[in-house]
Amino acid sequence: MAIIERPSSEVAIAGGSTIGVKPSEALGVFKRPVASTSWRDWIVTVDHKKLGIMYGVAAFFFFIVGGLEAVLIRMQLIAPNGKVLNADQYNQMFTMHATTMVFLFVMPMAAAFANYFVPLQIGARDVAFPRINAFGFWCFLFGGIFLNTAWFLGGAADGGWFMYAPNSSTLFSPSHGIDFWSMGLQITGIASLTGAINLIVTSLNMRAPGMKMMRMPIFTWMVLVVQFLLLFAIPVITVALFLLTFQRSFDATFFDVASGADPLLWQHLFWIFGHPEVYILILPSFGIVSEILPVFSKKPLFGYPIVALSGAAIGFVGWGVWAHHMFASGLGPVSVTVFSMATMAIAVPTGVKIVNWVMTMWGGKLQFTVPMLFAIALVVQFTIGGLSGVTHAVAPSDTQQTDTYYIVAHFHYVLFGGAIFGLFAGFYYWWPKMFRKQLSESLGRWNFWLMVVGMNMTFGPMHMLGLQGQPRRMSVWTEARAGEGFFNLGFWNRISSIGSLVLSLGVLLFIINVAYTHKSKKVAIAPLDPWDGRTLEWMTDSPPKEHNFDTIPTVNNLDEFFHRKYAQDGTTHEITQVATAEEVLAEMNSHPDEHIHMPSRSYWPILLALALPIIGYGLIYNRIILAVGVAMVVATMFGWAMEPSTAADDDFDPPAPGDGGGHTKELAPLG
Amino acid sequence: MKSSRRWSNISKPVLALSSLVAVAGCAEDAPQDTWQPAGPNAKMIDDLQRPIFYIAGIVGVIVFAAVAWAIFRFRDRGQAMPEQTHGKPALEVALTVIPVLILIGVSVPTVGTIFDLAKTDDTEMTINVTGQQWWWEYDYPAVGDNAEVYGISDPIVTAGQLVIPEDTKVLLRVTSRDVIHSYWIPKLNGKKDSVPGRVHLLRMEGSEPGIYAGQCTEFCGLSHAYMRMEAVVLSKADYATWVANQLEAYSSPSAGNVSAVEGEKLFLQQCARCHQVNGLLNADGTPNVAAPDQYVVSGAAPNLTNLMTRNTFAGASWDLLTPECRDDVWNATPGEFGEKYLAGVSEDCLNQKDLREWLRNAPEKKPMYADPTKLTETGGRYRGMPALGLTEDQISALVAYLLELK
Amino acid sequence: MITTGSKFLYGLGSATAVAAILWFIANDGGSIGVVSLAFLAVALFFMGVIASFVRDGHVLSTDTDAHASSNAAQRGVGRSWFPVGTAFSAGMVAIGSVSSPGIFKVGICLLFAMLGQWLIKNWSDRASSDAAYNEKVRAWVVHPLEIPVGGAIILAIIVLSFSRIMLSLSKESGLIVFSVMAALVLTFGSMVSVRRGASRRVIGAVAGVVLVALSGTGIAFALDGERHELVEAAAEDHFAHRACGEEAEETDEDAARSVSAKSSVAATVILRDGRLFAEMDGWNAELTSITLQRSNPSTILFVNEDDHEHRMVVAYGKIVEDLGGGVSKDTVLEACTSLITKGGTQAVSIVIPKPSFASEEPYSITVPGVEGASIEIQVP
Repeated sequence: MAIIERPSSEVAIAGGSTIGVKPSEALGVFKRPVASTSWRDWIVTVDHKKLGIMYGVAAFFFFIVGGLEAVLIRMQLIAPNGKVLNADQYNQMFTMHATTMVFLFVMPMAAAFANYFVPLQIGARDVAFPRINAFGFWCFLFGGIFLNTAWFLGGAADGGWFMYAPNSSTLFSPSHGIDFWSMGLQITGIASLTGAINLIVTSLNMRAPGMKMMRMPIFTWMVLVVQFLLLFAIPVITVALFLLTFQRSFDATFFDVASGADPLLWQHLFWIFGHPEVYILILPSFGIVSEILPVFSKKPLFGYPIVALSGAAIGFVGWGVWAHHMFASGLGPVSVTVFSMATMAIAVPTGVKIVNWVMTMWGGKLQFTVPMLFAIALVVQFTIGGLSGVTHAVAPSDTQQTDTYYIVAHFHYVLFGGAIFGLFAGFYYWWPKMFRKQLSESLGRWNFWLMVVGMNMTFGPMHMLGLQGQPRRMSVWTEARAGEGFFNLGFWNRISSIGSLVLSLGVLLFIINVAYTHKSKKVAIAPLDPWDGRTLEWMTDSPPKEHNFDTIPTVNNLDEFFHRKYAQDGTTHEITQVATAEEVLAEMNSHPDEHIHMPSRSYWPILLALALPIIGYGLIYNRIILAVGVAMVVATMFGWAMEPSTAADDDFDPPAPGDGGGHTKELAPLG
Repeated sequence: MKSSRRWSNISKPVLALSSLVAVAGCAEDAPQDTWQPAGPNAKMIDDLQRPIFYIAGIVGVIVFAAVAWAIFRFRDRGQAMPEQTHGKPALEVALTVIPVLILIGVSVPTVGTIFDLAKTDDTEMTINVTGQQWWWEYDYPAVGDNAEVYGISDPIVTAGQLVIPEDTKVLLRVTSRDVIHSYWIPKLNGKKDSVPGRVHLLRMEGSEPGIYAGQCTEFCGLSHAYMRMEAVVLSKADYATWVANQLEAYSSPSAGNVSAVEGEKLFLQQCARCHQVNGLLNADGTPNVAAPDQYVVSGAAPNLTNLMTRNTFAGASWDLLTPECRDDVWNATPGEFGEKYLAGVSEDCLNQKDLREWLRNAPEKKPMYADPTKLTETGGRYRGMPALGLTEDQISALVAYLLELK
Repeated sequence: MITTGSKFLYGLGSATAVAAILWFIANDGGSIGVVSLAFLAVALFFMGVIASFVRDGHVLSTDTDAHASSNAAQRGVGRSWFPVGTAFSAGMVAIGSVSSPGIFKVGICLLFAMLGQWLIKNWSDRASSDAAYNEKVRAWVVHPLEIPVGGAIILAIIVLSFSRIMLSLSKESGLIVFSVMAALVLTFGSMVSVRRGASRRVIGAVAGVVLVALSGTGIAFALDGERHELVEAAAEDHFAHRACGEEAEETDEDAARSVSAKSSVAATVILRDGRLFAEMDGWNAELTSITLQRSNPSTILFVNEDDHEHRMVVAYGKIVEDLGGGVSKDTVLEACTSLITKGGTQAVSIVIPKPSFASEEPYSITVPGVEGASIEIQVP
């Protein structure tokens, strides 16, 4: 049993001889929360694994919301002059669909995996700043909820997720939707920014002994690149959103042409954030796939250093291509040329990754488990998305394609066929680690095939729609522009809409699979190492204890776990298993670390995060609510600053057995 | 079972890709098809993008074949643990250099085309195109070659349909009065955003008389879907006729046409505040000047002088022609097209249904911010045309009057 | 049983409920403030009930006898200045209500602060039998408000005093004073950070003296008034529209809006060798007649390449307002740049509301003082 150490108490029980009220108890409900197994622990936890799971659950909820919005959009477009939604609702729907999927699903879901697995993969006990981690999660959750309350308060944002000025001004969008949007994203931006700093510090400073940068698992590598992208991209959108808020709430004229402003300022700001954002969305999935392909090919990742560095290269070049979203904006031929070339250049490191994945499978011993299927589908679908991307890196060609369904097809192949398939691969792959049970493989196969068919049926036809001239973001399409013959735009629209239902069914099957796996008594507890994993997260219990590892492992190899299980014969070069996962774990646990410091739980992160939406409502409705929110921010920040990272002894219940000086206690049982 | 699963895994991408490559074959006269250029600018783009699609297709096929082969060949049949190799540097370099070479090959013609499409020094005619929620205004300035070569002695202002002469290098000066729109006639050229406060230049040239469809492609608010446009290309002789007709002085309906005379009065009361009809006189004999800047957010409403020479209305969202007459014009051969187009809209061909619905309640037909109760949100001005509360008789009179505007 | 913790919550809850009712009366109901305050009150009561129910989470609190006999239960009779402070604040409120709203507001703030502090102090005094611990509890609850508010007040004093000083100094000496002060702050800060051993008292004393000196100087300068340029500018009204005349005006050497002017100009008007012409995108010529769209924000850039100072004037008709009774008011629509020296550029943004045929006088761009310098503007 590992020992968790707590500091000695500074304030002894006061009063001495008399029977007094113990000091901490005088605070009643204000008492600092300590170890608990109840639901309350989820509110106050700073454990990266619990936060990871909460990120995941919340993000999946928003995935369903965003998915339903998408289905409504497709139902509207199943026939000409659709009547499912009116124009206003449609505009809100596609705005919120994109916003939800980008900011409230893919980003936080990647954060969920990053939170849960980066510390495990690098052999750390937690992230560097656990309370900030909790704060980040609550910011994301409250920001997301705040953003969506607009639906019930006069309509959601209706300017498209790119929110081009001047269409985003109060004159052209009089409802409060865009106010909710800008402030909601501001709040979720805080989550991304704090999370980025946290994970950067964690993966740079808290790696287990022996884990050099070039021994880091590739998922951690990709997450690290993404956090650097976030660190530099989020401030840009923060500035842009501030300008927008000031324009709408305080009559500033940053984008007002009559005052001499240039609305293209917004586009530049938005896309300087927006293009790195694309890589923020896709790179975590690249990381997941780069973990899964080697495991199920029984081979190390082909060209590990090149995959890692090409990820970093994408991260760099990604900053120089933003204006390819603006080829039709009238930049002038020189700028267009430069950005066109830079965009083509970024295809190279991306192509390298695809090549490396294929070469990883090449010569392997492939096992087609569900995570592997999702990973292979990602490779294929992302290739399609990448190639269609090259066609509009060619600027003149892009002037025909941009803002048509061809672009919608392109980025859904990249983001659904790529990013989301990667996330689903991650669900299936890591589920037994997180929840001790393995998701059903047979239901998983159904889930996979329905999603593959649905995805290609929904987004494949959009290539045709776009090339035949159907623009995006139109609440209705007309037969007059649909062409003649059987395979006209109407046909492809219908196929696409039906495909979206198939896709929904696939996602529904995933939910059913989760419910079945956890409700059914027939599903047994998964073995410790169900996939024959290669990295450190498999070298501990499932699910891991609060402090992750009883012993911090010393790392000697890339794929450390694999090398502890297998050995190569010096002469025959034959690889044989020398230890099971259980044996490796038992060996490690035989000499547990004695001094384990874990951070204590805290109320402050959630309270501080809760104050932010109050400020948001205040800005929209009433300055007094604003003042309340600001006061709450100040008070909670102060409380947080005054609170030590580890709770004092008198915060525990029952109080720590005091024997004068520093003492140790057993780790309280945790759920 | 297993093998069929594997097959669909391979066939799916191949199918998707082959359909992608064959996409030009799928299209049957979609009016906005980007693969059917009808002018030199669109042709330039088409010449560039076709080979790129083929290259992309070939690269795709190679990747999918490799994946498929790996799936087929290296699946777990109980073979021994593979060698734990981390890669072969030479292979890596080779596989990196190949895409670099391909992209260099692609980039050379790309740069050439970008600069060719941006050339403006060979312009023969200049037209101002102004976007606003949710229609396009065209004005043909009466300066330079416009006046000297094409006989535009007074500025012509129209809406909905751009009319240009055949084989003429026209330069559009595209701008906007409110939000960002984008001007796109796929068969003539790629798109260009119309940004308030900026003038963007877009070349247009049609090689054959005909009518070419387009659509605003930058999301521009509520009725973005209803912001369409059409470009009409006329032979040079027909174009001269068109210009002469546009410049012809206005004449009130003849006294015999009682309904139309009534309609003119109604028009002055109800419509002329926003809609300009050049030459129309107020009751006191002064020329009528519309003041849309006082009533509409964008500060403009379509100029209705010679309305019936165009065959669409309301941001080109509806046809002024009945479906039969419309098909007759749209499907006319290049030789006959000019004559049919210049015939304008006759009473028999008038699409009474849509026009009447429009006059009855415009915001219901096309979503607009024209609700009188919401005027406070837009500074007392409408965004789009409000419902005027006309009776059926008034509508008939107005229709009769509008039919005279040609 | 009503415990210490729950009492606090009930108290806050009641105060919030009262605030909600007051709000309702003051704002004629229906306001979101009422809803949120009511919610807050309910939440506080709820938490109070929980605290009561679990007896502040303290098992021993069921032992009422022990409670009654504990030190914490013994009411300490000590000195308190809260009654005096509260009375003083109440007096201020009373005086303010009949004399000046400013005093009234300050009084209200003070009153609330006093009552709040009193409440917390009483509550914390009962927290335990240990005075030091009680002080810790008090600090834990009120410091989050006290310290930021105090900091904000000090900051406000600094900002106000400093800005008064800067506003009354002349432009030249302002620069010097600013640099010296910045250097002093930097030096002092670095000294403190380098010499870790420095006594807190000394630092506090220095900071206090500086604060007093700064606010004293600030008050003195504020009474002295602002520098004369600012007084004049305020009298003229910085943002008022001025007619385009010949008179000289103070302008910046780098004309306003040159950034946007570069990225989005409808026309560039150039004065060169006594000739005035325009260049426009899409026309490959020097134009003396330009077309601008009606009701469309257009930015016109004026480039003066003449040796003398000039301004550009854009005239685009007039608005006739009917004031009723046969009286009408004409507003000439004009826009102009300020006087620009050779090589200077400046932009004006205009929106022309009416087509040119609706105006008797043609729309034009002219440069006063240059014979024949005129460009016709056509607005279709």
